[in-house]
Amino acid sequence: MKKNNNNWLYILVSILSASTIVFLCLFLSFSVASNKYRQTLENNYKKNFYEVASNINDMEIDISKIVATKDRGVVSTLLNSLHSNVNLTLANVNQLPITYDKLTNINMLLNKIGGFSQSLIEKVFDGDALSDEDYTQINNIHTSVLSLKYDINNYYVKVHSDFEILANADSKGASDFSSSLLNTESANSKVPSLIYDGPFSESVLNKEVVGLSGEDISQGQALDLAKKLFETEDVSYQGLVSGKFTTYNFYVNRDGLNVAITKKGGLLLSVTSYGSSGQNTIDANEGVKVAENFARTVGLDNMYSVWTQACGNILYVNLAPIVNSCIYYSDLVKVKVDLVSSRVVGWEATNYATNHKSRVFTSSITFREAEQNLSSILKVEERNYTIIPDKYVGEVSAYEFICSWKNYTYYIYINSNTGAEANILRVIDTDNGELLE
Amino acid sequence: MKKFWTLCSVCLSVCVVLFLVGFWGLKNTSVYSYDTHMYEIQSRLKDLGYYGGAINGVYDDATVVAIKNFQKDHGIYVSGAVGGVTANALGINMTQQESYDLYLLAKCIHAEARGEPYIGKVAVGAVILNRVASPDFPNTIYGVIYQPWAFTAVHDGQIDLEPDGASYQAATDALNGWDPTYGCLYYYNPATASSSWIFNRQTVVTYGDHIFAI
Repeated sequence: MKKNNNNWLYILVSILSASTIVFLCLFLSFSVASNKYRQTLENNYKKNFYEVASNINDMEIDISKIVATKDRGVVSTLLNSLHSNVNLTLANVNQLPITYDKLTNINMLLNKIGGFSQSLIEKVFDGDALSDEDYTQINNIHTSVLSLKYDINNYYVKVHSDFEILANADSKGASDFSSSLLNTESANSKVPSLIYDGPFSESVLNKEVVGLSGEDISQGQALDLAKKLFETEDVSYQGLVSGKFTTYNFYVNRDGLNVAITKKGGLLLSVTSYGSSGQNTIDANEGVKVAENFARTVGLDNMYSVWTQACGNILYVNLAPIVNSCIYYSDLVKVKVDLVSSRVVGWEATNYATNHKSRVFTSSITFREAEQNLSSILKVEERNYTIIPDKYVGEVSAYEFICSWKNYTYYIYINSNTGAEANILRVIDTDNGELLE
Repeated sequence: MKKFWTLCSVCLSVCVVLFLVGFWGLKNTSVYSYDTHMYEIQSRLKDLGYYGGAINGVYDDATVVAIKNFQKDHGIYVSGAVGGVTANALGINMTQQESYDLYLLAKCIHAEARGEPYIGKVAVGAVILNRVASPDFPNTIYGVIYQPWAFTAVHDGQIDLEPDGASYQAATDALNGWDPTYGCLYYYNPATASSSWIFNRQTVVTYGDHIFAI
């Protein structure tokens, strides 16, 4: 009996010992793996930080050299280097363990420097010298970057010695970089006030809406308009939305459409919905007609298709006003046509509502002179007068040349006043149809 | 006593086996990369008889072996990776940069808003693109999406889910300029948001469970 008891004891001790060993082994394995991943992450964060520090040092040196030289070639090289360093810094700083709301100011500083340097690159490329105002701005930027450089370098010494970024992360995982290096107040003082019309200028971001005309309409008038446009009484009011535009929003139950009509002028601003599935009943050409006819129903005359993209059962049609043979690309309206139901299931007229106005195509050079600026390898297939959007000056008059080379198709825009190439786009084939890049 | 040591030996053997199995498991749970085309590549390799595993989009050892065998048989440099030549030989169209942007945007929309109405999906895509255009954020789609803690679904790994057709179309709409938020930079679910900071933003519109704000 005693022997039996001993046997059970042996078994129990053995199982417990075995279990302990198993758990220890597994714990050890997980711990090794966890430490490995943790070290890899820490190394990546440190690499990002070192690159940020190095790039900001390079930015400061580039800017100080730009101030000190008048040679256009050297200025151009330095500006390109500055622009490249800004983009690298942006990429790396946004991979540090800092919550995105605390990166707002450093992102704004870097984006503004990037946009400003890009505008100067294009200015120098066009043969212009930097103005006194430009140099004043560069000086402001230098002061800001210098201040940032000192902050970063202080941290550089720390990180280089015994500072572990992960170990200093808060409960959400954010490092105390966010509370010291890039804290809101000090970074805020580093954002210079830049006066330029670049991609991140206030004038571009808060562009005045000039395309809406007429008096404000009531909710009832907007509802009647929605019923008329979609030929159904089954429309329900969703609310008044106030953002860049103030719109009455409706839901068309029959087709599942979300519709927004502007309070000012009663323009159909947007229709959003997911198309239906099934066998297409119309082709792309018929789809274009559906889009153009719908634009006329909305009250936008002279709108013609300038580009289409087929995506499954949906045809995206870009409509632009064509007035006196001139295409207004700044006023594009995008229409989604469901090729199954042959109905419009999407409409986006923000550009039209923001930009549309009467314009005059201006030119200082002729079509023939502009064509001479094209590469000789290109074969011109089509020519058009256009008004195109420009990220710096709003919009410009341009001659459009649709050209071919090998199997590629290009859209080239020559500024009709300066003769400079305003834009070049290439048609590319993707899984979702043809796109312009 | 002899039985005791026999039992100990058996237990130790079991431990060693379990340890080896565990170690092998850990080794094989290392992070494999997901590729935009991996589903298509695996599917094509399976059709051709080179791959017998699951069509899961994971670039794992079995997929690498299958690719290598395919490359070997077709006189292509054996790398285990799919570049243009291998893709062409497989009959797969490697897409352009826009498609990568579209795919990533669709993935983020799917991860963040798959239970939301269609307009809510487009709105999430529009917020991401508004951030790209804003000076306060990185200036690329992947830069915005992968900003640390910017999107919950990226942080917890749901971003790796394969997007559905509605998410693709919502991403296409957003890239084509549809913005039902009229320029919003933020959105949150009031039922789950934990940051008090986000509640102080000015609300513009609500779609489904998400409040969109500037």
